[in-house]
Amino acid sequence: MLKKIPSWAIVLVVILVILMSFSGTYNQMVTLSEGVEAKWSQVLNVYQRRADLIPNIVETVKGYAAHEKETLSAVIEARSKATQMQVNVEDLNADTLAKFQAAQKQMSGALSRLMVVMERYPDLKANQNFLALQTQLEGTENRITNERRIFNETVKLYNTYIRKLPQNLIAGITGFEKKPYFEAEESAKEAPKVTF
Amino acid sequence: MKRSNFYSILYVFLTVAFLMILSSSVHALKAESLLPERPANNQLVFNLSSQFPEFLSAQEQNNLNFKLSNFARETSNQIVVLVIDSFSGMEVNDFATQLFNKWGIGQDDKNNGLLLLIKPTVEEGGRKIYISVGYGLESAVPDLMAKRVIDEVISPSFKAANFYAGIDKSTDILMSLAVGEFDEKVLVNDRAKGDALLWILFIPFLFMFFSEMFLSRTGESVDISKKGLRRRHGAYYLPFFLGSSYSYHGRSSGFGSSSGGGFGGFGGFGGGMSGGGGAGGSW
Repeated sequence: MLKKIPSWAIVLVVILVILMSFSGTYNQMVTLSEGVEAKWSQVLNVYQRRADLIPNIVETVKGYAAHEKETLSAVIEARSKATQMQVNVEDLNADTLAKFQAAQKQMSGALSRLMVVMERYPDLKANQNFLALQTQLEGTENRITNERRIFNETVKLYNTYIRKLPQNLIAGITGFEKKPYFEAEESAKEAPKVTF
Repeated sequence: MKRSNFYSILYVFLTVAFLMILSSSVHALKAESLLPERPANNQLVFNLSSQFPEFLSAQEQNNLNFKLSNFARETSNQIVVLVIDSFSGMEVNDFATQLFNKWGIGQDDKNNGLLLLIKPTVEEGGRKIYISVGYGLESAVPDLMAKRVIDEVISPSFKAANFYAGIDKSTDILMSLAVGEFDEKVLVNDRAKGDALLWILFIPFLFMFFSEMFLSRTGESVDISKKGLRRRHGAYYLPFFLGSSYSYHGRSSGFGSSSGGGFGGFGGFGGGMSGGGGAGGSW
């Protein structure tokens, strides 16, 4: 039976299979890559949400603990650095993500030092406005943890896909590159702990 | 057609089909073994605690289930109450959010779920209460409000060992908060896209309605939005058409809190997601 199959049929099979798998793989890469980009904007959103909370926290704290200038200005400075360190999704690579993460980590550190200082001001801790801000900050930190985890999961799907055998050839030709992860550094564990 | 050509074409098709099936291997989903599976009993109140199996009596659990299932059916907002022994070593907020997303509380297009998580055990950081909020309810139930519900309603009741009262009162508040954002919209939307069949049955009525309007106000353009039309029809005709199971107050539609499967309960979880919203506390 095999003898009856002419060579043109075999060639046709090969061409069809290559074309189909090429376009299928390419489309899948586009989909996965879009997924990563969407998650990245979510990550930026939640970090922005934290940055937006900080002026209010600083204002409230100022009223009670004006002489904690150093801690307060450290927070303000870290905030302005972190908001300047915007990474567009096109520029997302291991280097820029590391810089972004470092800036955000600095802000987390400054915030947690501020929260430690606040423990010394019982009046402030009893202030309703401050309690509200604390709850919001805590919720924002939770959202950051969550969006970072989802981002990493999405990147993992993408990276796993483009690095497997048939796909990596197509990824090489069409320029799909490995995307970076958020490092699970110690700062994740020392995220500003808000205690009540 | 020559026989050999026929075989060749058959060969091309079969081989391509075979290779395509091979290549379309499905991605294995990541196993999240640390999180408990959702019990398959079509309920909304779960006690998975082995240390406190009597945290709620069977009667109390049924009452809550009944209330929350009705609420879920009427508004599509799903509120789940879960009593559990441990967070598997995770932070409470992380555990709550991941469990929320694994179980898919709320509808997937509205993300309108709420999870009230209670850990009555003293081990692993003490007793904990956490309210996890789906994306779609974040503005209806802001973190601050969740925090207040815990601090001002649940904690005081739990401290007095009134577990049922604490859950009952707090879910009442969460229900009214959720409805503040969702009730009306959901009812209209759900009906609008509920059943294609429904609308086919409806066309005669629509026709009557329109012709009536044209007849009564000839010359005037018919300036009524589709939505308004649906709402009016929904309000007047739907219950007649579909009996109690589709009517707004679908309480008589065979709900039985102990019946488990089938059409009872609230119609199943919908795949809603949470982005980490909510707040926690303890007692």
